[in-house]
Amino acid sequence: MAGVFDDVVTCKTAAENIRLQKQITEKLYQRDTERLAEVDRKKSERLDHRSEKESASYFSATFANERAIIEKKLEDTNTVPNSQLIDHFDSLLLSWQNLQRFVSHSTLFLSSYEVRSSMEILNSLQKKIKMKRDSAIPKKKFAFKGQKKFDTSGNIKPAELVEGQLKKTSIQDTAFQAMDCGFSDRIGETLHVDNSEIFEKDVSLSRLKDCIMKLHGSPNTLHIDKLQGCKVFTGPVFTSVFIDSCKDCTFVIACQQLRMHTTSDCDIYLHVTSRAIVEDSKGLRIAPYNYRYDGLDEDYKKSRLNRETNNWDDLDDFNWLASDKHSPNWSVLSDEQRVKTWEV
Amino acid sequence: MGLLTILRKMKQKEKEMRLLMLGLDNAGKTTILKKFNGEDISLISPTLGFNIKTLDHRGFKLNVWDVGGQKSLRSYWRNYFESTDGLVWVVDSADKRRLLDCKRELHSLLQEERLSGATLLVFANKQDLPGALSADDIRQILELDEIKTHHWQIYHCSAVTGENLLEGIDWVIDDIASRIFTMD
Repeated sequence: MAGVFDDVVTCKTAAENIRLQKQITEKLYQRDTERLAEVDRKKSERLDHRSEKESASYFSATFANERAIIEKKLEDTNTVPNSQLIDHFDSLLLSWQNLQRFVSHSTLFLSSYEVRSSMEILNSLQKKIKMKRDSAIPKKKFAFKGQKKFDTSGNIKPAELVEGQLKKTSIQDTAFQAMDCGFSDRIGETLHVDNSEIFEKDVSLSRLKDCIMKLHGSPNTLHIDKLQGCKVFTGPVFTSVFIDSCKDCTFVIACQQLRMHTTSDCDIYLHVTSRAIVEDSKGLRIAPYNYRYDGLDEDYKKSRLNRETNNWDDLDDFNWLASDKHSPNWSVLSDEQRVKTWEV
Repeated sequence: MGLLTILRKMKQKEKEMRLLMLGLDNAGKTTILKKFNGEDISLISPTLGFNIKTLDHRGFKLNVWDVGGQKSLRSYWRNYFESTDGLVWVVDSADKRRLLDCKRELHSLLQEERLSGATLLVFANKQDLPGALSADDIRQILELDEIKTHHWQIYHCSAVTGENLLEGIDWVIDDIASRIFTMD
């Protein structure tokens, strides 16, 4: 008897369970589809938003537009009746602040030149507004009352805000500009740099064409970017060398680690103690480091590079993962083709 | 008893966590992993593929996946997203010119649905280098304050000296633990 009763109970609970299960899976499924749809929606929204707003052309167009509006307003000052002058200048200041906020939000994807020039424009605009204001609303001789008015018009707060933003912008600015030492935008020059200028610094070489760079010393890191037809010689680099987007160059380099991205048709005379890697590159020819200059031995000691280990002929090609076949993107420069001695 | 509770119970038994370590190339991911595990860090070369380490730390079993950060490998990152409890994003604080790249990669990762539950730890690495930006600067440049979808925290550290590594990992463990191992 008791057994039968038990069975009934189990039956009931089993049925109940199945029902519950069904409910739950249905609910889960429904929620999942809702969530997926939401995610999709957000994603596309974000994409639209971004591509539209994070481009330099969008920035310059909007910036020029806003600037023109402010200047127009400024010119119209003379037609504004005296009683509304304060409101007029308040709204001018507000649009100026909005423009500045727009610039500081955009600094992340703008080049430093664009940031600087737009900051200059902002500054001159601010000066113009101030001058106009001073001439249109002359300060009273007894300034207490006027200042109080300034307070109550709510101008102090935005001014503080602006200061905060300026600070933020300048941090970001320095973040992107503060390279210790570098050479860029030169054509057909020969540059000779000695240790005192580059020792333990982050050195950058960018946008050079047909130049010869002789770095007789030990930088901490070396960034090489967008070089064409150049020859670069360097003493032992403390840590890493990064070569990006170069073509038809010769590099004579000693370092701990070397990375080459999107570089083609270059010869590299290399001393690397850990490992060199290449990515999206082709036509690279490798030979052992053979640069000599006065003070090289000393620089080696300072840089703590181990002269005994040199993995110059063992590059990892991230676009060639087959281990049984040699990567077609790089080769070892044969003895006959190597330059034996470099004229210093 | 819902499915989640069962999963929780299962995880609780083993106290296992999966951490995924990502970041641009040369950020120091492998160095952090090796340093944390007490291995030699003098001869580390760029990671071709990935490293997995299982560490026992504070009674937890940490499965740490360290995936290479070269551009050509980034498209494979997605293969490692599944069931990640914590994302460790490593930043080379001295590499100012690529911080924008770094920000973009991070924010696109955070949109990944499969990482939506993961705790985010940002390591502002290479603080031993002169000219390294502070954790605060990195926080601003990477716009971490904009992140509302994940628990996140930034720690400055140096993989070479080992400074602050433990603190960072401890935070991520605590945050995950409070989420998945309910103290019932």
